[in-house]
Amino acid sequence: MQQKQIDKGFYQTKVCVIDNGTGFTKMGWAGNTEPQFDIPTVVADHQDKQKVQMSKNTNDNLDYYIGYEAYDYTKSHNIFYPMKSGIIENWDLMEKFWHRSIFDYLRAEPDETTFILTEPPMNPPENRENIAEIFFETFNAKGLHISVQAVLSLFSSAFAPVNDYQKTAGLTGMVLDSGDGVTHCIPVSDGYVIGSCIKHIPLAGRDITQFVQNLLKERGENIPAEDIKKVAREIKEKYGYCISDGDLIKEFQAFDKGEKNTFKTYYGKNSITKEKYTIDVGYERFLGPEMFFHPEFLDGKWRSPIDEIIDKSIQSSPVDCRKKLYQNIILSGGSTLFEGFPERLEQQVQRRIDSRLLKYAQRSGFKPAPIKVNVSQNPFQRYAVWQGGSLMACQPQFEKVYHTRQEYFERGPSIARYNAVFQPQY
Amino acid sequence: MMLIDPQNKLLKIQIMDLITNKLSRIVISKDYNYSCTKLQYQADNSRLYVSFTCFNFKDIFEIAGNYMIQKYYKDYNLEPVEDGFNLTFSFDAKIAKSEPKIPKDADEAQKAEIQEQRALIRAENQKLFEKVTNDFSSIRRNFYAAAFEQTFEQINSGTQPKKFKYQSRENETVYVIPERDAVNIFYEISFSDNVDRTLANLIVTEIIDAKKNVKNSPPIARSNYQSTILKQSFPEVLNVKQDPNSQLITMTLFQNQHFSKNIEQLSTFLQGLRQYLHYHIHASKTYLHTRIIKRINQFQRSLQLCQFEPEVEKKGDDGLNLGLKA
Repeated sequence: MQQKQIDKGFYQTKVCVIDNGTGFTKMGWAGNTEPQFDIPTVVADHQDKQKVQMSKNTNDNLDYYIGYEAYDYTKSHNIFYPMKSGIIENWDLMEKFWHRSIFDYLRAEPDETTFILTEPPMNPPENRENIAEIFFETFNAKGLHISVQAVLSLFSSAFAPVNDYQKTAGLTGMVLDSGDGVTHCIPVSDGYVIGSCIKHIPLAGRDITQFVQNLLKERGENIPAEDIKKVAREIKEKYGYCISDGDLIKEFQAFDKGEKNTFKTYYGKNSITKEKYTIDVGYERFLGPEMFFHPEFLDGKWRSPIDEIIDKSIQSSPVDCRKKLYQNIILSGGSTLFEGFPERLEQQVQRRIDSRLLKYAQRSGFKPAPIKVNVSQNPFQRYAVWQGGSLMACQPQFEKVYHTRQEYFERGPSIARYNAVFQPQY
Repeated sequence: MMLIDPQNKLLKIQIMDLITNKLSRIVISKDYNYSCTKLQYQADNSRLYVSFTCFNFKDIFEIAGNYMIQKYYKDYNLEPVEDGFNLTFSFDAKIAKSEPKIPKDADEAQKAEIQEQRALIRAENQKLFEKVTNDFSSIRRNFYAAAFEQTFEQINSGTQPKKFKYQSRENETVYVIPERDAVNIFYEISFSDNVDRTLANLIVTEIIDAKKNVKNSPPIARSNYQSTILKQSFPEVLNVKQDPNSQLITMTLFQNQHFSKNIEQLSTFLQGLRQYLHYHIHASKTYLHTRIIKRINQFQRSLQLCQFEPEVEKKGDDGLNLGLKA
């Protein structure tokens, strides 16, 4: 019988993009605009590993669950979070997480699939080698490419420029990436992360949710204990906003006077008894997101607002790219989706620059050219990193840059230490 | 989780999202056997279009394609095929009942009645959407299982079905030889990696041994191209270039014991045997890798604790330092 060959058209090339974050993992097939799965990075593993296998119909090694399913097995299994601050801590669990993601969720044959994974900036090269070892040895992946999350965000914004500066910026810009676990300010110049200038605050979405939860508890709102985390997160996402001018006292007064429809009502249902309840949503609407500009609200150790950190990060970068970094500040991650956040950040950073340039003008008598700050939002901001990976996979140069299984077996895991970057072609 | 779900989770979630929220979005999903499914909801005519393609579609469709359409997709419209795909269905979301609106001047009793009607309509629509979701998320399973289901149904109804074969992957072919009340299936399974092949051999040996513990288990064995049944039905196998990476597994299913009832569950397993094996091979490799890493770490810790005796210089008879190690 004449053997048929695989037709390598667009619909046959298989590239998966998996963006593992501390809180959530976004994964899907490249070529789509949004990830098909957005699941928590959590593994429910069997509690008692020493137990003798009683039933021949089950296998203890396969008795684990990931994502939202894991929360249904909290009583019979232990819940683990294999990642902290963007770095993989528990490699065994992460391997299981990937196994289930590839075979159950994505249904990918790893022998025929190239994987694009993401990593945080300053990820130790040994971690990349471990990832390569797992994907090539255990899963027999066809190819692997590990990209920095900030670079993929810039890749995504390069395809959907919202202003003239972004059209020419390419892969140069300042990425403010705020997810669930940690917030990073990452300057990137021509696709390369300026590692020495990265700044971070270990406060992000999870901390805002905790803050909102504490405010609701202190006020004595009638929320069932098992649902309070979920309610706090939903209130944060649905009703949170940033004050436009930073005047907290004015905002408190506006709330107290009942101006502009400030108090909201949240309608909830008890997850166990299914009883309905309502609660009021008040000051936490703006106090939660205000954490970016007053981190001391959440943790007394951190006092620098985000605009100061961005400014310091750019000022410590090489002088030839500073203007471009100011002109292309992009937001990435779910915690930057608050209403009014880009405008407020732009205003604060612009004020810092203007005051610095004014002081310089007063001392030197020479008036420097003004620098315009642009903070832009991507329409797919929550999934900007994943989308960047999906767009990168569709580029013709991608076939030349990813590491193949053959290269891995010839040269070893050290190939994964270096992952090439290329400019997007429109 | 021992088995792979026959329904594609991705399609399940996306289809429900598209038709419930009426989103004009295109989603492309890939699956096993180089299959690809495209979903598109068009808001102007409220239709969901589902397009499907896979490796060697035409040859496999000739075997039981029309049977599949009649059995699973007769409620949907067959549309002109989209570019890059081989099959396109559409579902008209207007079939779902629209919920009545509450008039502004309605009193409390009328409002309560209309809300009750809305809840009933919503529940009906939910059932309809779930049926559509289940049908289309199993499209790959239905396509490959239809050939087996057609064969089983024909035997059960007394008709003699035809033998068939199809190439499921580049180096893999499935041969199905039905008899009066039994079906012989030959799977050619190929793994390119040495470790995968070794584990596949182990798993197949275990399956052959484990049948002693299962009631009415089908006879499963390793075979080769010299098998009489195979040569008689498909003489061309003698001329096939044998791939050293592949092996032939044969299984015989009997009407009374295996497929007189519930052919769907049996066909789900038959069409997904290769994926099932692959899933368990990779689960075993994950487990082995974890054990190896733990063992290496243990050895490294032991090595760090070892104390080596220092080198001692020994003097020879003529007073020279020989510098021998202790």
